[in-house]
Amino acid sequence: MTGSALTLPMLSRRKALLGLGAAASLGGSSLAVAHAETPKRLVVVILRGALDGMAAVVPYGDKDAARLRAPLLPPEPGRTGGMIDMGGFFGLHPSLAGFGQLYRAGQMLPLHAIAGPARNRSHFDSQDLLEMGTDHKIDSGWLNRVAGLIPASGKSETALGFGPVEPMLLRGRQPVGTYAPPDQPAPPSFLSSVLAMHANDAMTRTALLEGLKERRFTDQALAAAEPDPLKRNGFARLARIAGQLLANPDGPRLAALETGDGWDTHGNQPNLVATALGKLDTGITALKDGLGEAWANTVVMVVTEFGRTARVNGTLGTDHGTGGVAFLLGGAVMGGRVHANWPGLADRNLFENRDLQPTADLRSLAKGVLAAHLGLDDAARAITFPDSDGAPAMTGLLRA
Amino acid sequence: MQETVLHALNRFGLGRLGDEALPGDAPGWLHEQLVASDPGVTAQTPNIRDANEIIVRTDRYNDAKRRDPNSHPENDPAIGPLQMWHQIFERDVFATLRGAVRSATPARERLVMFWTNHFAVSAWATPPNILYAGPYVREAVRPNATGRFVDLLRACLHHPAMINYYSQQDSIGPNSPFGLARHRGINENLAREMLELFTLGLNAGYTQSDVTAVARIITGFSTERQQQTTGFRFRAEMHEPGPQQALGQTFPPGEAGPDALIAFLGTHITTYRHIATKLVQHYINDEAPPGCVGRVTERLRATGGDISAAVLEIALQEEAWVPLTKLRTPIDHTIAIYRALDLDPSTGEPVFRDAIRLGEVMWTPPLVKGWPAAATDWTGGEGLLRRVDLAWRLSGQPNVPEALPLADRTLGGMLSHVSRSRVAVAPTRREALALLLSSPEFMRR
Repeated sequence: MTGSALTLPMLSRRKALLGLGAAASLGGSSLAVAHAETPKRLVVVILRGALDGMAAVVPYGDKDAARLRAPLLPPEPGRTGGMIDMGGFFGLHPSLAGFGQLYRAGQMLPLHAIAGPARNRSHFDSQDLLEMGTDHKIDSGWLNRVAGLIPASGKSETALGFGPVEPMLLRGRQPVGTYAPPDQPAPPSFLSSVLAMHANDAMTRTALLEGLKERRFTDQALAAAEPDPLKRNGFARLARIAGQLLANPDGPRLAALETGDGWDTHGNQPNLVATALGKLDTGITALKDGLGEAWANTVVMVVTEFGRTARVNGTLGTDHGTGGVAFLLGGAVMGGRVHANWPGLADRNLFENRDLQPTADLRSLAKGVLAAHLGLDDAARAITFPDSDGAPAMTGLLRA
Repeated sequence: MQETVLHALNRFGLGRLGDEALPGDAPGWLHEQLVASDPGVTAQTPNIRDANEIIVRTDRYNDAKRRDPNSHPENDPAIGPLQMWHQIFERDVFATLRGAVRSATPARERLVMFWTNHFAVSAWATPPNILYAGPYVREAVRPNATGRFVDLLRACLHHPAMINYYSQQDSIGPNSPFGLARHRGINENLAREMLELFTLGLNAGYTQSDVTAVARIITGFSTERQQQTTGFRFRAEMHEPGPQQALGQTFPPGEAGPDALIAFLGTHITTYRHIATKLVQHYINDEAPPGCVGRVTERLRATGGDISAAVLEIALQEEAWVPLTKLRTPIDHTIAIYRALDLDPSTGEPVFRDAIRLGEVMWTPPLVKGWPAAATDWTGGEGLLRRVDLAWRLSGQPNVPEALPLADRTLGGMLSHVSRSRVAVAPTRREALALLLSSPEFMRR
């Protein structure tokens, strides 16, 4: 698990794969990459649709919170159905009981007033840039680029996406696996003929190969697993399976998961957000259960494309905003506190007199995790997040 | 000649249906379908009045049950017999897929599917939408799918399915009589997507204050269940009073405001460029060639937004006749297999279920942007393997055709030598057929 420099031929190939810009940024330095047998796992959970950060981690100690959004605030800590207190200023939404337990165990760290690179309040643009890890459109996702820096085990690809559709986060030159619960499979002899037909097809060839490789791995890994009790909550079911696959010594080290919708709360927010957060909470608990002892070596990053308006809108909801919240969870996370350079909710402090002002960059968070958790050095992080000098890696996220 | 026709059947249609007679020429085949009136869906399917009638009856039933839990309100002819909403939805979506599999006007069906996804609403939104989704496609999309874009835009925005999907009826002008009395206000949900997704497109130069002004202009858009109407109602008492400045224009108060806004957006050159780009991406390449986009945009401008003229313009482009590169989306791919094998789609339910396994659920897009359509969105390994699984399973049905004659009928010279030789040497009839349906060429349109 110690860092090792890539050999020269690999480096050349990597240069070719990453293109000229990346090759230049490499300079003469060697890339520090985790060894194939790294025990470290990184899971990115995307909440598509934009979670209202101030609904999940409520700044109830800010005197302007009640002025801007009284109808959206859960009861204060200590009251019936009240928030879970986190130090007298922030309260955790009552649906996040599992998150609360991890917070008390020092394994959950909320990061507030944080945002990705986009500022235009478009779901799709913001999701794209969040997943690409850049402030302009490129053709790969940042977790794919991380996968390129960590060798695969040989039995599974380094990175695994969950669900039939591969998220932008995982797209790119590096082969990645995808997993969805199985269906009636076709026989192997037939499959090898299919592969032969696609051997010259740039669009489909690699994906089919990866799909088959992952099926072989997941079939074996899951054959021994317990039957699943979490039928009702699709996300929790998938999260449990993700945990089990990640816990396998030969399994993937990086994973991308999505919760399904329910976050785009333009109206009736208190009910909708409670349901969505409850599903998220159950899912993360299931992921932790699936991981078992590997939880100690896992960091889970929960991210969303932007926060929502500071003021309640006319339909007991919130519209598209800017600054929001992210969560870091895992055995090594230095949690039990809230990471926030809090901008305040006075009108003059709001972004465009409307949204929570972002004071932290999601790329800084991700870079901090890559450094402390996966041991990636400056050059490697520059490949993962190109042109992000303005978003330096956060420190103090994990226990040494 | 036959090669060109087979090419057109795949690029602009849903693939050849069994051994249906081939049209004489490709442009004529396309033109005929686009100018002819809509043959519609033949099966018994509800319209918006039927849907609202069902909703009103359900409300009456629930009221009666609340008053007396031991009563049997379903025996009241003003209430019963009861119908399950999800069963109505299923019958409707199944029948639509059955219609697509058997369609004699597949180019028109493709356009209907394209616009249904452009103006996406989900049946899985708040409850009435499960009943509104089918009527939406038939009443707002189908009749306008080949007409003027602005008419299509107007019809979609006025349909209860759209209003309910975005909860637009809850967005209230804060200075309207209703807003002042109840302390209610606007939300920007539909306003923003109207600009970003439906008309001008992202980064078209509009600002946050334009979005907010558009949200004020469309206050009052609401639904009406009680009357036997279109289901739309403009509620003046919820509409923000006064003229509004948006997009460099002044829009009058009242219903004239949204009317003028729709006319402005629906015929704007930036809108034409946005939809031209999407149409070229749909028919030609995920990376839309700029020259094609420019010519289709110009055609839209010159014809006042005539969608048929735009599609016929696309068919005139050189790039429309190069080898097929577009990956079929899951629903499209499933329909093409059923058509190629000439399989009886039964009620349509098997087609619906098969497409779900490939990753796409008809009429229930997960996001307001609609289902993704680019190849990169559907080339996850598992997703592609499920196409292979589906080919394998359906090839095992009784009475399926021989692979090589089928290859000649549906793909002709488009099938590569590599694929053809694999199909030719396959050890069993089933394997040969499944290989043809799993070939890179069959996955394209």
